[in-house]
Amino acid sequence: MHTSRGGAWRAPVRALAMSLHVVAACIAAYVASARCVELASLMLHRLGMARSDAVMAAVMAGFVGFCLILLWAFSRPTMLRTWIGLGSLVLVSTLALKVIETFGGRV
Amino acid sequence: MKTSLRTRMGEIHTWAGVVLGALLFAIFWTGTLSVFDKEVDRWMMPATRLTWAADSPRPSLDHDARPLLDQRAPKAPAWTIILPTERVPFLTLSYGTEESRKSSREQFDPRTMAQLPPSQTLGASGFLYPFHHNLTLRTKDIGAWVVGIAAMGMLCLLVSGVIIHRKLFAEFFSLRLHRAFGRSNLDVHNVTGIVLLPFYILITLSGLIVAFSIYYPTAHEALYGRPATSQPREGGAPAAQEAAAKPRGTRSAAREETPERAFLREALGRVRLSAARQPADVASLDAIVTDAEKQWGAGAVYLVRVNNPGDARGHVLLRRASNETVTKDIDNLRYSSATGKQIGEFQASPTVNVWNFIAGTHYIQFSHWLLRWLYFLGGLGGCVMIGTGLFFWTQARRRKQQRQGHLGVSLMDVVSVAGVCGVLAATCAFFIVNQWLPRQESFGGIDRERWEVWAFYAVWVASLLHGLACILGNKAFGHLVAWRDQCRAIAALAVLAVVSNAGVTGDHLIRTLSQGNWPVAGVDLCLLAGAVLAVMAASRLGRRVAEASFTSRAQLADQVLGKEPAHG
Amino acid sequence: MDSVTFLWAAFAVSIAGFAWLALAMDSHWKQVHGKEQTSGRRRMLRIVGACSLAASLGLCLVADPASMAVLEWAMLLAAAAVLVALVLHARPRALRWLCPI
Repeated sequence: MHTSRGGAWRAPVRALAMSLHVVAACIAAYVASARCVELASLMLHRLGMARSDAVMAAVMAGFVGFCLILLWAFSRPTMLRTWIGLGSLVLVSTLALKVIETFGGRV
Repeated sequence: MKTSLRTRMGEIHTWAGVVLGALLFAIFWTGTLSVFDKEVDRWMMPATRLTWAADSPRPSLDHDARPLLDQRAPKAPAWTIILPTERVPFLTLSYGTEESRKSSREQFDPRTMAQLPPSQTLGASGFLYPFHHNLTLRTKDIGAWVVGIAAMGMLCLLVSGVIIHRKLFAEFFSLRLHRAFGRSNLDVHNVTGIVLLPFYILITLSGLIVAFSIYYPTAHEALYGRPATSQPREGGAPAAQEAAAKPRGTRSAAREETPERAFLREALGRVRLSAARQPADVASLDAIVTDAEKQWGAGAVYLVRVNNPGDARGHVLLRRASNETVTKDIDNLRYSSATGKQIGEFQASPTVNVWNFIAGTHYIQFSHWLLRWLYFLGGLGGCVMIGTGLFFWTQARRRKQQRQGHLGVSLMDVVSVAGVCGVLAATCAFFIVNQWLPRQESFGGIDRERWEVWAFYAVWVASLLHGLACILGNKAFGHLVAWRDQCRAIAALAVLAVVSNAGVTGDHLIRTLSQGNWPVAGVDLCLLAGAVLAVMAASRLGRRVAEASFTSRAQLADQVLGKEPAHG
Repeated sequence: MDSVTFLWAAFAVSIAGFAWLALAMDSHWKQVHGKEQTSGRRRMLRIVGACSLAASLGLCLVADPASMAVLEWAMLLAAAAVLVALVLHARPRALRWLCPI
């Protein structure tokens, strides 16, 4: 890589910015997966599973889901698409959870 | 600019590998050692080198264990009796006191009930295994979170690795070890990666799943309720808030069950019964165990815990050994300690048994030697895969960069050599110090256990410093020198560990092999095998160093004679 | 026969299975025999190899309960594959007798 005088700092700064993006995206993906686990447990319970079973099943699937979300998020062609995707996943799952809890009633 | 899926996955694989590689190696290595943690414990705790056949009659709890417990811990909140097994050939009595949570553990020869002298060491099960799952950083589970992040990264590495492997089936059997080092290194990485892929996915995923309560702590909240925040529920709200605010594991009984406790009780059968504060006798423990064995089969009980002994509401919890199946059995039976009658039982539901099965594939508590050895070899394969992967990246980068002084590559070289060779050398140092330090409780105010751990970390740091010195000192092939020297050091330390065991305990290989003392002999043989591999690696690297040094001297000569322009 | 014997048999069968599957690949066939091979033989080798691997699963299931057997099978396959790869690297001619021309 060429290093002109002023450009000596460009690569490390870009690396730092990229690293922060990656960390933030991972956190967003985790939050999305945690919400999805809670949603899944609610839905499994509605479908008839006992409470504890629903939570266990949702949690086990949650790890696989989180891995898939991560791979999907980081395989988007641009960073913007990654953030749009992750952002909407977090929003939708959080909203769905709130809606079900407020109107669906706790069992 | 359209980049294909393969390119994207390639970037994920490279970056995750670079950032997490050394950490993953340490986790995989300590995990591999933990497969035989009880055997390494025998090696590190010479006082416990007893033998116990699986079908030996168990010691009597009433005649052998009770007198000791009554004498040592009459007022303890709980007694724990761990019965001897083939891999743990002694009886363990554990009890806490009213004041402190930390329980005392004492070990007894199960035949004579003579107390075994304390070994004053953490051993593999006390240090290497905790290092594997939480890096021994227990504050706020920070170590467990780091390991969890690495594990999730590992899953991404595995999936991306498969996607980017262009000739997955064509190169399934290709080990071109005679070719250039870079090609043979990559071949080893690919083959160990693909043939053990199901194993790696199983191990990584199961490792995450067993610790779900750390990684998804709020998973139960949708169905069991959130910890009380601004909306107090009627009745038990203040107590619930109090209970939720208390740190996990506080001894004082919360009057109201927290959502988390409710979930753990329903899913895993964890119950807490508070004391009645009325004195009562403790019934015959042998009778209780015999009754349990009617339901579970002979020899099925491995742990007996008496909660609140001497209390009217004391109860005895029995845990079942999972020797014949992969599934880690969490079924338990509860008996009243006062009357000896069964008061409850827990059987996991099918869904929870799926979790138990997955946990079992990671904890491997079954007694099946061949499968255990296969796990060990699989773990070693994982270490080889990670190590060759790290090496491949630094080689590829070096060729790409042309200049040999790029800081990023040098940094990764240091991280690679310290991450791989360092932790191997540190383990050997841990073993050596364990044998030589006299077995007293502390030296100079520091526990003997901690001296061993300090030795582990000190050698690791030394490896890092040695790597730094070599690599920064010689930009062209300093990394090869570092790897070669550290491989030699590992070989020497491994042999020294075997010699230390023979010298200090007298259980040298000839004696252990003739006596059939497989745990100790096994550890010694593996150390020697490791030394042989390290010597082979060092000689291969030594040849590379000689070639590289010849090439660089030739280049220097050309520069001096004006034939080639200087680089960089 | 006790369970360990069955497992060793399963291991041997999976080594043979992977060797046949390797021989079904042109590059490895050339390594072992030094000449080209026909598509009919390639198909036959693939079928025989796959059947061997399935047979080794069967032997594992005879040896131990299903949950353990499946784990053992996966690990034995890995060991067998590595072994075949090493043999192909060091002494490819040794695999000649598995499919004499």
